[in-house]
Amino acid sequence: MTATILEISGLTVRYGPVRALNNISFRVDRGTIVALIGSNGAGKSTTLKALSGLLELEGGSISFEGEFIEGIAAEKRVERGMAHVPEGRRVFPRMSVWENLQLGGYTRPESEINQDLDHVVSLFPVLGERRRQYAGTLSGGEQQMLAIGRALMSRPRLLLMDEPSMGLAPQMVEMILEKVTAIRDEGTTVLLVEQNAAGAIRLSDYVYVLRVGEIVHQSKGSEINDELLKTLYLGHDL
Amino acid sequence: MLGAIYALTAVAYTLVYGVVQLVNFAFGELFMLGAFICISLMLPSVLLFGVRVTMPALPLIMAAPLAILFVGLIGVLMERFAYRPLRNAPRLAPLIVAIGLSVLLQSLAQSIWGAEELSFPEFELSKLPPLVLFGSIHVNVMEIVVLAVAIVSMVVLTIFVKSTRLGRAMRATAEDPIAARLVGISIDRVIAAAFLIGSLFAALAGILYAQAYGFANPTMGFLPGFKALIAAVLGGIGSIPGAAIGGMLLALIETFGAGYLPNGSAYRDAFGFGILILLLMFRPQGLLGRRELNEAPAGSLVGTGSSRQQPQWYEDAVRLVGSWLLRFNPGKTVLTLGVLSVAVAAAFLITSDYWLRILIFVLTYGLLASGLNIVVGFTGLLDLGFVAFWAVGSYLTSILFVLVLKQKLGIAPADIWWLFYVNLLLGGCLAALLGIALGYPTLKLRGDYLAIMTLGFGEIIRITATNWIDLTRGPMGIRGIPSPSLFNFSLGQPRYLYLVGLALAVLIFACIGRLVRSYVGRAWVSIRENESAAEAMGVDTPRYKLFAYASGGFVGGVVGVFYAHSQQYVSPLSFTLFENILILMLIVMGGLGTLIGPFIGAAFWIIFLQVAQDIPFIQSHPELRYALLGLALVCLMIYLPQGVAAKARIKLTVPR
Amino acid sequence: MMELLKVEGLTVRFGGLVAVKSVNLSIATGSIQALIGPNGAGKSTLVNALTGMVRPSGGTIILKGQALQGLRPHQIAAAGICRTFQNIRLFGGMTVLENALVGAHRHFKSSLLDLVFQSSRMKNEEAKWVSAAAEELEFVGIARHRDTLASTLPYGHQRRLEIARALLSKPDLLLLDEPMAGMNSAEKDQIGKIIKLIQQRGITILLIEHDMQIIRELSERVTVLHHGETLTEGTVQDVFNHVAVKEAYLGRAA
Repeated sequence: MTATILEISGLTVRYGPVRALNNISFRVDRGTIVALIGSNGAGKSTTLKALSGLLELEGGSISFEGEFIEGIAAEKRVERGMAHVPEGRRVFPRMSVWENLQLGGYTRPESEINQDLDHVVSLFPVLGERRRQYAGTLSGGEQQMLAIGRALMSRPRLLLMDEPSMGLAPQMVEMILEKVTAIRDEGTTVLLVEQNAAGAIRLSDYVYVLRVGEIVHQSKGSEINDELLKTLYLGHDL
Repeated sequence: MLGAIYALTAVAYTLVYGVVQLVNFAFGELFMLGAFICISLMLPSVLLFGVRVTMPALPLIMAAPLAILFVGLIGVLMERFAYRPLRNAPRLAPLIVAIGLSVLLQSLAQSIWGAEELSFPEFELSKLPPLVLFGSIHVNVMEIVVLAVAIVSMVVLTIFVKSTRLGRAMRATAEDPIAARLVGISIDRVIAAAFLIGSLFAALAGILYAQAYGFANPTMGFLPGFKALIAAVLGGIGSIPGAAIGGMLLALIETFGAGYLPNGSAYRDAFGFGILILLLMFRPQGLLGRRELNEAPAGSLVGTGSSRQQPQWYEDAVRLVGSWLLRFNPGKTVLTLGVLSVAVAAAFLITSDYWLRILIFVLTYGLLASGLNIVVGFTGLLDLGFVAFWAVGSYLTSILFVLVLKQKLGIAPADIWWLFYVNLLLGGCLAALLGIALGYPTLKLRGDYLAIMTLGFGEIIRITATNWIDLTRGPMGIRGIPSPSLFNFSLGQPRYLYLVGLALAVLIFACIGRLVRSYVGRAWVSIRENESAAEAMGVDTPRYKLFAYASGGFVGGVVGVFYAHSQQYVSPLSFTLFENILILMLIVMGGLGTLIGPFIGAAFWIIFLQVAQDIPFIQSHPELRYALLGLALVCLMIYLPQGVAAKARIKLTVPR
Repeated sequence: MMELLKVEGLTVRFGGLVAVKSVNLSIATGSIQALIGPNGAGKSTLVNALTGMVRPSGGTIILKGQALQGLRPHQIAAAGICRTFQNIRLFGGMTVLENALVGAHRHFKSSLLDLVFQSSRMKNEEAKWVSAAAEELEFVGIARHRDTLASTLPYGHQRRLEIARALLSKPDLLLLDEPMAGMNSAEKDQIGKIIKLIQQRGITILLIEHDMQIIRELSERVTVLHHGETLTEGTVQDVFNHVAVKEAYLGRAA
């Protein structure tokens, strides 16, 4: 087992006429939480979508566990051990919580699904309580937990999370971020995209700052102080 | 029993719509193919392309599953080669492909099995005497079998979708295809599965239908197919129990309507359409459905074609044809005059009446296509009821001249020759009014629902024309419509008719051109390109949509009047959905949203019809021409969606 | 201060979700007012409500004394509010010039007969607006692309065309929804200059933007939206020093 689970080099992505990512390179070490922060339109979500295969690359390579995966379809990347919790949660609203979770284990052998369900419920007990409820009727925080739980059902070794705190009340944000740490402690590597920069920096092992499609800063989370953050993030001191 | 058959076919529409949001009109044809293949397998021998071929003479119990599987395969192939390349294209493109596939399959079936019906062979069950229940109710054994088969297959499907892995994946894809990919579901496989299951159900329904009525014919799929679509919409498209309820309900309404309403059985087929229209107006999501299905197909009409690289010769050919056509841009006065003088000279140089009549056809269809092009090509509203306008103009003038003046009042047409010219305007205006009346309820509808609703309108008008015998003389049609004349000079000769047609064409062409090259045309195209942005820029979109319907209708009405007088005969057979599709195809072939495209399409098609007549194989199977048309339409949508005259895109500003 | 637009208690609900909660907004004539807030704060919904593209469930929108709530988008455009779109919505199959002319749609008064008979009135009107459109294309710097199809324009030019098209409706209030999204800093500066020039022409602007530096350079007053509510409103300096704004953007420091 190598220390690096994901290595990206020269990643370039176009969104129609916009070049959303311009030749970015970074790597993620196994068993860590790596945060990708930056303001709106910096290219954070685009990076995750490119990694999970939802967007086509214009250039560059993605190496996951030592293999290049840029030619592989999104649904196949799940089988390889990479799961994406998309922006806006995207649970299946008219299916039950349980069905959502079962779908999360779509790529897994049927025989192991129950075991995985138990594991997810132990992490998010509320999902067990609401197993028969339609996912669309859950609160925002519960939907976020379901989205994470659904991704964990595929037993990923790398979890891509896109703005799990978006639109949630502060206590809920704290709770979700704690769970992210718990997931890391179980051995799953996490690549976290966040607008809530302070929260993300606090729990990450390493931080990359994106700005208009380029990485403008990288360091350990503890090395980023408030002033540096504001400059990097807002482009100007406040 | 009819309810069960509608319900089964409705399931096909519902499944596919749920997963890919596509109304696959071709299910009606798969329904028909199921019946044909099943019957063929049950016979000892059958005529295919006029050649007697020995068949296995299987019992129904074996023939049916084989036929169903075969149709399922066709469905999967259809998805793979016709729909998949267009998965990300704007909604209009797959819809037109669906129509093209329908025409292709139907015409192909006509060529293969002939236009005659094929009767359903007798088999053991059908020979059993009816059961007598409670001493008074007689029930055919087969009726019970049909009902049982329908119920069992619905239940199996429900269980499949509810609790199997693939079924769950289908529902997930229907809800959110992106999230579905993120959990590892292969969308391609799910869509193929939906098409497969849908096709199986359509074929099953077709076989049940054929055995119930005792025959199969190539057009049998259209009405049940369309009614199944209504049933699916009624129940809420995308919902399986909805499809079952919708099917039963529709059959009940038809039966009761036919039985209890005065003259109800004649209008039986119109009930479904009427319900559909009311439903779409007041509750477009159906009984059990969701509202989302009425979305705007934003962006350009049919896309700019596949992004894949075309061979160099192909690119060159397109460019050559395009630049050649560009020179016909009527903004250039000299060329316009040149084309015009050639067209006028043709009247005197061509001595064969036969070819002059063909030219009249080109003009008629070119004009009709130009009218429809305003609605579909410029404004981006798929209208499948356009023939209604044509019919209104034709019938108006025919009824006035023949039924009212000649027969009631005893006035000789020659004494009121000028009425023809008045009628041109009158017919146009009446059709324009109809356009507004029919357009109004469709304003809130977009995309597929709009197409379905306009189709419903067209059918209602045709059914009315067929059955309101006092007014229209029904299927017999109206004969003896006088040729146009000027004072005492008859214009009945093909040469003069052609000139009258040409004059009309020039007038209408110029008017459309002038409207399009102004703020009106820009408003139309902006609605097509992005309706919400158009509104935000101050375009009163409902008003301009109605205006497009009215303008298109006006042209249709005027052409209708001309058509009636040049043919001297009208009947409801001229105004079928097929004609509408044909006109639509002409535009697509020539280029949607171009001025010259409709005429080029019409010329291509009609000259092709004539040339093809000389090919022996086509001579013996004339329907193959329509199959080719369908195929051409599908290929055009995939490879050259903007039509042959795409490069002749017109400017929307006044030429300086 | 003359008030051009006054919004009071504006609320937008989508099903059970309240996307905009009782927002008040006041824009002074001739000013550039900025609207900021994190992702999902309801900025675009607010703009959609102001332009009639979503129906507000409550509140009033008054432009120059005229109540606009509940009107349809084209009526609001006629009243003098025009907008650009965050996710560009040009008419891809039309040329640059034609796109711009659709912006001027509300000014065309020729009748159908004028069009069919190509009357001089119609020709003059057309010529007038074609040259007006050409001027606006020049103003935003894409005049030489006037006969290009909008869908084939480079991205930056598409954003400029959006602005030109909106300007041609001669609005009193121009809503710019992230007009610089996805641009580099040189391009942003150019758009910034254009926005300043638009202000100098007497057009009031509501600007949605994320780049604080740009906001500081361009706008006088800032409204901050968070969770669909107004978090604060004031001068640029006041707002930037506001603790809650920092937290909304950067999260709560632990």
